[in-house]
Amino acid sequence: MSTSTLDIGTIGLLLGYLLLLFPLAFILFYRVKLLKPLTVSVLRLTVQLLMVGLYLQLVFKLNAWWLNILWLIVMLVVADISLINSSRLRHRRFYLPIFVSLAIGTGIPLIYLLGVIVRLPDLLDARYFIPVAGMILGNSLRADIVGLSTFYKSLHTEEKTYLLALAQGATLNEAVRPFLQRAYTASLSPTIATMATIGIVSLPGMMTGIILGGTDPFLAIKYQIAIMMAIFSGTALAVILGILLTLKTSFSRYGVLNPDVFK
Amino acid sequence: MSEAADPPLLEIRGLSLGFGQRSLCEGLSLTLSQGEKIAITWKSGGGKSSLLKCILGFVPPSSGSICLQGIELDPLTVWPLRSTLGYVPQEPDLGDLTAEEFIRRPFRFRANRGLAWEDGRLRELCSAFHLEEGLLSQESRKLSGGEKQRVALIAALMLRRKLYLFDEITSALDEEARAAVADYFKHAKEFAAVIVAHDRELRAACDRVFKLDPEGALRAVS
Repeated sequence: MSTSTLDIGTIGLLLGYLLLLFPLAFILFYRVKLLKPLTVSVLRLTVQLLMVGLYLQLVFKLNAWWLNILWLIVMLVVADISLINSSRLRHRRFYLPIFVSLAIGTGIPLIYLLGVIVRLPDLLDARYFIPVAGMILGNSLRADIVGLSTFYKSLHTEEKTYLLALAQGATLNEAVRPFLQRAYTASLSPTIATMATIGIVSLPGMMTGIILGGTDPFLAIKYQIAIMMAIFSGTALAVILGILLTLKTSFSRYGVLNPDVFK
Repeated sequence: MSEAADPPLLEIRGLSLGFGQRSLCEGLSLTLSQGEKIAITWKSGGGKSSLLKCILGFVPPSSGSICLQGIELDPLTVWPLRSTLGYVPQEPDLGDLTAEEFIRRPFRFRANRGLAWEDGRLRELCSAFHLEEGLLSQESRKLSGGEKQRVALIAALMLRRKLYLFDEITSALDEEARAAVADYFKHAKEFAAVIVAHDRELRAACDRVFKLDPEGALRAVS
């Protein structure tokens, strides 16, 4: 088995963009309003990844614990802002609780995975710490957007049901429970479905990356299993914390949903 | 030494309620004692549900106060006080539950855990309101508006509260069921109720009837 990954040259990389011809043709033919967002996204993806690539080369070279932590904080802040922008929730009210939920949702499974499962001598080793944190955070972010949006949107549209529960003597936590259950189901179901089909329908990026890097596929699979557990655990933590930590500021002292929760 | 009299179940003093520039009621005062039932008629679209929601703490008043069993409603007292009330909205949303699950749900709330579930009472209430017991196992979404109203009414009465707030609870019922509800209310002496109603039969079953006049004051009709 070869132990080195073949490099993609500049021309090869540029040829990669030709794959966009198919979606572009459909978008133009059917006049789907995706041309502008697609162009912006592809440009952002290219610039962001090139910048990150350069930055990570430096980070890996220096491998300084404070720089790695700083990078994680930057990722958390960007995820925080991105989540609130995507969920149509009001900024000011949610910044801190969602930052905390993402930090805990990423931090606990990350430390457990690297410290207990992988038994990394240096927990903050950039080569492990940053990519694994990114994977957990990315998935937590997606689930948190679905979870928070579903929770507050269903509370808003079914306010009568919620208020009736309060009128029947329910505490705030008891009255929001059905909405929390619904939000939790909506946010965790995609990860559960992914776990059920992984390896057959899809080969995840991390595993593919390790295999392309020349590692034994079985080692790649062991990493993938561990990372999926960490992702699911982080997702579940981030979603539940995201909802519970925003409860206090989202309702009046009488238990009524504040209308200014939404933009 | 004589014992102090029980405080009224509900005492509203100088209550003003409105949304923005629109006033719904001004300086409203009302007292309700044990077993007493009052009906309030209201012009349609006049915010009739808001008074009941205000008593539940869902809508803040512009001024005035509300006392339940002698305790003034505020952000701290509202939570335990709600568990002494029963409420049925005009168009109850029973969610994804079956009718029986909906009726049983409040018994799982911590505040209601001391209450005993009574099979006999459930049957008695179904019979009183002409609701087939077979409907209890049906998904609520499949029930008609009138059936939902009766299920919500039964759910509230199963809790055996001393004070109820009813909002147009017969609006979707047929004549026979409306008469059955009015008849039950006429003879039930164990609870007091504030009933927002246009239904004449239901109003006739109440001890007092009030009308909110255009100036936003309550006027006794009978």
